[in-house]
Amino acid sequence: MENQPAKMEVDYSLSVENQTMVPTHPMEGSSNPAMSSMYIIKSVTVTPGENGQDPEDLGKVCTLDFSILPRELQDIVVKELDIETALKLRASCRKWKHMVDDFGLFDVVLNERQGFNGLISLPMRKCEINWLKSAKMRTLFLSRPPQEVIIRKEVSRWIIREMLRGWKFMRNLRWGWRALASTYLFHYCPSASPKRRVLLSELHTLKIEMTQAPDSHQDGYLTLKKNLEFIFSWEYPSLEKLNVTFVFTPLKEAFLDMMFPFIARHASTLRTLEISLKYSLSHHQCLNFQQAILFESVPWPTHRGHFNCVKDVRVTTWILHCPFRSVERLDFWREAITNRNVLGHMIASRFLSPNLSRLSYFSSSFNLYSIYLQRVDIVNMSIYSFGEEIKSEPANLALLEGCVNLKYLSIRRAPILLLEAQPVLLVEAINMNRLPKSITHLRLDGFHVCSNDLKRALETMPQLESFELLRSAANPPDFNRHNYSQVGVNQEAFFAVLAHPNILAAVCHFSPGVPPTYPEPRLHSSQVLRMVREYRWEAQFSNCWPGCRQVDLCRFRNVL
Amino acid sequence: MPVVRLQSVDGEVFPVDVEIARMSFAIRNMLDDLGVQDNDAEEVIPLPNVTGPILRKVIEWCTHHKDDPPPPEEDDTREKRTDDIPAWDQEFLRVDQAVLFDIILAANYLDIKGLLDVTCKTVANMIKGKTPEEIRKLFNIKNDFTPAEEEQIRKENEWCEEK
Repeated sequence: MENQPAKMEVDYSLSVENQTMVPTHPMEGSSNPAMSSMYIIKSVTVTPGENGQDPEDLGKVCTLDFSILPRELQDIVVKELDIETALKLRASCRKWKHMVDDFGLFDVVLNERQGFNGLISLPMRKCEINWLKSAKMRTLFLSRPPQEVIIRKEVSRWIIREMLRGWKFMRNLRWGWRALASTYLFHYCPSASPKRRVLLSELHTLKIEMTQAPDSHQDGYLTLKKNLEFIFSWEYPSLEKLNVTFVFTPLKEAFLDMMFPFIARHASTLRTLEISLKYSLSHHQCLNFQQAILFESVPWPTHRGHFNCVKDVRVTTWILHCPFRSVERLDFWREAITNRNVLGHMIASRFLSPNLSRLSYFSSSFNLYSIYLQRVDIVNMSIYSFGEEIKSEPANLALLEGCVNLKYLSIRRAPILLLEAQPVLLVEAINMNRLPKSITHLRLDGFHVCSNDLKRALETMPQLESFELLRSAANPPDFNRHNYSQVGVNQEAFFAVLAHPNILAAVCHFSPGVPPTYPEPRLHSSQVLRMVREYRWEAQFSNCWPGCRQVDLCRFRNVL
Repeated sequence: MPVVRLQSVDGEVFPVDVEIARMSFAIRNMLDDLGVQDNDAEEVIPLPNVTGPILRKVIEWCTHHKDDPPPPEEDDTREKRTDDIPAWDQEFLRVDQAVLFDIILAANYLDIKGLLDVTCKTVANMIKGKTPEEIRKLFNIKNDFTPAEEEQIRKENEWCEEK
């Protein structure tokens, strides 16, 4: 379809009084000299012609190009489209095809119901292959590899073979247990061949889900084991992340025997190892899991759409640099994974890596494993608020006092937990005066900090170079996230930050529109600007959420 | 009611209630950065990217929606819906494309999320349900695909239509 002026396309009559004829540029891209001499009607008012067109469509006819909108606004419009419309838009011209393709909008799920016509060359974000038996299936693997490939249900070995050939540069692969347990995906046992080969040279993330359904029988287990054996027998030279999830499944020795050598072989590239044990827990069982380090208890949404108790326990080894250097440690690993307390101690004592300097705690385990604090110079603590029915000893931050090496300290309260019951405090109030003087980087997120304490503490921490005080509740915290619109530093605390002799960078939240009940004098943007200039800082403002602004501060330096 | 005066690029000045003007985060920030209090009347805020007629439309929309709750935060996982445009907004946006696009640009410049959402949804609705040929007509797009490319895309789309 050639590009044509509106007057040739519509069958309406144009009302002359509002018509604006503007001499414009020649038709872009037109090779027809007659077309190039035409005028484009910039604005028309259309009234129905004799063909009885739907009046609702009348205002939509115009010669304006959608591309007058900047790209970010075009993106917003495209995001509003459903996939079917996006496909139509993609088919209208090259420019819009590229725009839609850039989004990688298409999550393709291939299953028996939806079928496959052999012509998917769409830019796929995610491709979930649950069923693929068409003879045309080879064409799927001729397309660009999706950002993520998921093999969740039963597929044939021929499909797997084609996929490994066609998408050999894929970066993210997830194996579902049902696919692994349903059929033999690989037609020979690689363990028989001592010579290892490279598979999927670009694979960055490998996820394996293992679930044992109640009706699983022995055949399924053997198939699962064979398939895992194959997957773990190959080399993935770019593998940085391995995620193995056991759902309702006890760890079996056979799995560990396959997994540990694999981990050891990939120690040079592996940066993140996540081993997750997921169980459905009853309420009283949750209490048993609060005393272990790195056992993250997170709320799990119920079918009613709200959180009422913890139902998911994840064991995550966190990010460990070069975690496995020798096969000799595999026995220790075996013990660690089967004994949660041992795992916690092993990680905390830097068993996994002598270079480990970062520890991430959850508040419930902070006190128990605080002995290891002495060794590290980085501590990240995440604090979740639980309903009052879950009792736990608050983290004792006074334990930080003896950490003479501590340089980086971050204490963060998770912001959003919709609990019906009133949450309880799982950390002691931040006593600024008792923090180690060795700290150079301090980040406090989501806590009430007394401005007087802050002022005194900053005076006694001369080495402090960066300081972040985020979501600092103006009033004593009540753990209601809606109150975050009333947070921020007050004038006195902000003054203390600016006046510190060594801080080079700081981030603070402040709320210009605090309610009249706020006990401290309110801090306006204009006041902040005045103070910043007076103390020769550079400031950049941004909005956090309605009613709260963030100021990023950088000490101004004269360059001579 | 305290008033702030908004000046369009063509010099037209609109007195607007501060409460309504603050629905624009851009204006809100200007007021905050200038240290303008709620009772500081007669402050003139220049808006160099918005013409008078468009600014009038924007103010009309904000006035109608001044009591609305704040729009929800961005969530890419939310269900895409464009059929939830209120009747008043549908009628308000029954304008030609030039005006509609100008309102989108103004909403973006003034950082009025609610107005930006509803105008972009309106454009999305204009595209919805149309064939590629109708979309080309609607936006005056030239079809620059070769016949072979067009055939390939048509076949790709069959997959979607089969669902």
